[in-house]
Amino acid sequence: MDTATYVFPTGSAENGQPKARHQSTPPMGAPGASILEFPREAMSSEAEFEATLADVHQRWQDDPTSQLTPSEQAAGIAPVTQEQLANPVVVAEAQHLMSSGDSVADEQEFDKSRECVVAARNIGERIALARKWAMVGGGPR
Amino acid sequence: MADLLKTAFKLLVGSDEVALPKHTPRPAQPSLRGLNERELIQRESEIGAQLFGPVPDGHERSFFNLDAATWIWYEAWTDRVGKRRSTTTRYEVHDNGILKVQEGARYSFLEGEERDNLILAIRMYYDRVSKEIYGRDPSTGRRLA
Repeated sequence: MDTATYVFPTGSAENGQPKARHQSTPPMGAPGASILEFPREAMSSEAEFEATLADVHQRWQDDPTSQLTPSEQAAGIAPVTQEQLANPVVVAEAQHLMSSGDSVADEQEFDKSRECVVAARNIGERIALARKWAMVGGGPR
Repeated sequence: MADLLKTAFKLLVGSDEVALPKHTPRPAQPSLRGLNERELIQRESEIGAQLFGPVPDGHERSFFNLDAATWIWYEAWTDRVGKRRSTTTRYEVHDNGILKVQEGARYSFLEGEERDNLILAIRMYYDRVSKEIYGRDPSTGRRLA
């Protein structure tokens, strides 16, 4: 494949091969929730749909870190608290991560990565919502 | 597109035994009535394929959102000896970054320019799909006149 032809994907390829920093088996993706789990009654009006969509967007825009789950916080996305810094186990784990080469060493890169995750989730949720709303008859007639 | 969806599902669930809808010509009216999720994805993918500039002759390209946390890039082309080749890349939004998964058990977290390009593409995709398929203002979610 002539990769030079394309605008994207680029970036992580080295000699035509992608970087392999993480060689673990990734969690398998799961298709979106079944339409059966999204009865029309869940959002019975156009206004309700718009409000739900706006809520998703606002939730991610207002304070992305407040929406993080415990596992996300454990993954180091949330700011480190003073209590965590006082915990020698947490500090030792952090030092191990930093020295293992698997962490994002550059702080700017880390912030950018977090920003991208938040943006992708915000948009992903909104598309999924619009798609489901269309399937129950809420799209253009 | 059917081959692409088969490949995508195979990547996701390890099996291609999924009954896929036959591709149907796009209706003149933008009505979404009666369309299922895969048909909506097919429509979105037509827009996704346009986000990265012209597709070279003989190439087939798709880019679409599979679910809230998964994006798919597919490219097919004919090589110099006339053999049809294709590649499918899955981008998974994880807690700690966006994981790029390719056939042959190749995994890497996106960094730098590639990550920025993907996010730009995702934003453009959302903007166009909202307006052109779902008839929504991408910022407010309100129905467009």
